[in-house]
Amino acid sequence: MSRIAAASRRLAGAEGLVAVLDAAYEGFEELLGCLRAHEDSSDGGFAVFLLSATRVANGRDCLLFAPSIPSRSSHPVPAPDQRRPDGGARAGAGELATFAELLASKLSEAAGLVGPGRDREACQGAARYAREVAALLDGAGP
Amino acid sequence: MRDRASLGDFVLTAHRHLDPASGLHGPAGGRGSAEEVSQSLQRLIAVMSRYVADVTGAFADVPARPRRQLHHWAAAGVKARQALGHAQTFLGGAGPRPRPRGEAVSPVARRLDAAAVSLTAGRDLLQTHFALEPDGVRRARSEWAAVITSPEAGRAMLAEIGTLSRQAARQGTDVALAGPLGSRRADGPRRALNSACQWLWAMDAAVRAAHQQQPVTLADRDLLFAVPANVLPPRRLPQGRETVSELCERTIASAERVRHLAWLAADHAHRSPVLTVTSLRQVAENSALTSRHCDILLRTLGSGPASGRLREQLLAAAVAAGQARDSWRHAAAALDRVTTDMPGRLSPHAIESEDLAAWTGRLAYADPGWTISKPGDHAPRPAADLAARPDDVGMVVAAVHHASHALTGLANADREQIHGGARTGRLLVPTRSMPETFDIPRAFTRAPDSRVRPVASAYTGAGRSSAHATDAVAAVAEAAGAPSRLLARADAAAQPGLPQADTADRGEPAATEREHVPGPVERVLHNLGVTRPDLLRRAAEADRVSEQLIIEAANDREPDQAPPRRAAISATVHTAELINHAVASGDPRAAKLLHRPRPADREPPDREPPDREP
Repeated sequence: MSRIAAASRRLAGAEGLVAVLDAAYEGFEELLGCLRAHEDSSDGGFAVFLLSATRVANGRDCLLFAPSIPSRSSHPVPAPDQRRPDGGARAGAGELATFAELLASKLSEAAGLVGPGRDREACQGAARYAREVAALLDGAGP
Repeated sequence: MRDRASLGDFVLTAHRHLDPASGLHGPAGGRGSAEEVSQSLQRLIAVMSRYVADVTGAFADVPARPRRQLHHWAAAGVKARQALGHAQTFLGGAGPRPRPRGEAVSPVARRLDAAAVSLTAGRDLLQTHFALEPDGVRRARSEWAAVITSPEAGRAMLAEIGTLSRQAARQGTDVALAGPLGSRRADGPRRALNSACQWLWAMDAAVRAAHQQQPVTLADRDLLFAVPANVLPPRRLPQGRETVSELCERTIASAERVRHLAWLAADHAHRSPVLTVTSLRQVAENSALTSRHCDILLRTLGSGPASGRLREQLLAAAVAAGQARDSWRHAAAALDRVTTDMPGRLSPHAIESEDLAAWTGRLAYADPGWTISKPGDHAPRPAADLAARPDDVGMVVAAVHHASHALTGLANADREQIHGGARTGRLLVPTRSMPETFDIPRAFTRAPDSRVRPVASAYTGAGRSSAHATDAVAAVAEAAGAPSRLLARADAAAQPGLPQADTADRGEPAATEREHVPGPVERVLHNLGVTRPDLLRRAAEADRVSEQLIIEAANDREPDQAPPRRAAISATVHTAELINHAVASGDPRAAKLLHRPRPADREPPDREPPDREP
């Protein structure tokens, strides 16, 4: 999961609202690529990854409507169809859950940095979806 | 147990009310006054005329000569409408008076009144599927509207009205011809009642002639009777204690809700008020889950009590459901690349799609604690639990069939929503997903065609694979005798572009046998107490010969020959009975024996021109 690991590092090091929004958006994109690839499994993980992917896409879109998000990423990003994991589905679920928790945590923090408004709503909405994803991937349910 | 009334409830009740043997409204032999019965018959004819007008509205103003070129059932509809109009005019063209307070005195009038009330309620039920726009145009309000206006339902409706007319005519003439007929002045109401009943028989004969050419099938009749009131079944959520039978019922109710809400969403797609990417994603996600549950259920049934050909069909349908799951997953993934201007809100059909996934999941998995929010690994429900006996297979197949059918509706609805959203600029893409050459100061921009096409294409695929899965399950439903077989027939009826199937493919023709009504000679023998079968057979044959002779003689008259005087051919009860028996034979040529109402009988004048071809 080198891409997820890289996205985690970048998100963990992001400081300030704009940087967190930028890193979190790309983080959601990475997570989405991994989850869609895992859906191919025909076992019970199918539903978990499917539901998680929907919530990740919704979380990412929350950020899209934050006024402070940069219209372009601050660093080069791969094309969407090149965002593919390099680990097995089962082995990766825990790591993906940890990353989703990190997303929720950083976005909640960012929401606390700004006053009421669309930036805060975007961070809170995206954090809520990230928490649901973490719970789904943990197998506990939201 | 059904949550909603259907048209069949009311039509069958009308038949029961009109059946003297049911004893619902007094003794079978009880009669009454011609005036009272005429008033009740007028009320029944008024509502039957409205049904026929609904069916034949498109042909109402076709002039007499081109009518001969109409298709059998279109021509029958016009003749039926005309015959009911003549019957109504004989009884008093101004139309029925409101029924006085309290029950009618005579059993016959009570039967007719009760049948009219049932039919009125049934027509009200049909009208719930339409709305009248301010510009006077009738607009569909449900997916059933296309079924109601289909040729299949129209034929079945005319056939039912024909049967009801026959039932009413027989009882009306019993009252009209009770005792000798006196002068026209003294016995005018009885003569008018008899004439009206003769036109009811003529109406039935017109319908029966069309039935001979293109039979109404039992499937057509079942489809018509299945039209429900346009009221959604109540929304229910799984509690975890439901039996398999309850789970099947609630899956079907949920699928009906989904289907209707999806139809509304597709109907409103040009305004796209409910278009949000959150709704689209929720529908795609839940449809993929529902397809997976259908796959599991069909495989479980295939491994259980089913055998031979049915087992093969179940497994083939499971494969088709699996393909539908993949295509829905593909649609969900396609949505990753777009968004909408108002994410977050959920449409009614998106909310309901989750319920359908929940009900099918509860049915598919053994764990009563299974919920969508805790998907994980779960064992399928054992085959012995799902369908303990071969008879139970149909019940589960019906639930899967309804669920699969609803998914097809969802795919169509959301594809329309996507096209509508693209047209109105509500479908967006993140700016960062666009090439650097796009200089856009916002984080999102309108989705270009190159981004809309893959999404629309994914939904086309989801619709096709869901329809394919539905067809595969429909084949299982036919084989298993599942009640959901009507779904495929409703689809076929609602799509006028589809070729009409032969009667052989549409199922058994509805019954054409008429009940034996004794003619005048046979009645004399009955009155003499004769019970010998050979004598009664000879009497019936004598009645048939006289009936045919009268019909042939009436049709042998020169076209320019003056019509016989009404009083001359129905002067006495005996001659009136002979004419009635000929008209009631169902031979459409017997209409030559009938008189149309004269201007004096009309109030107001009949707006249709005289027509020499009944």
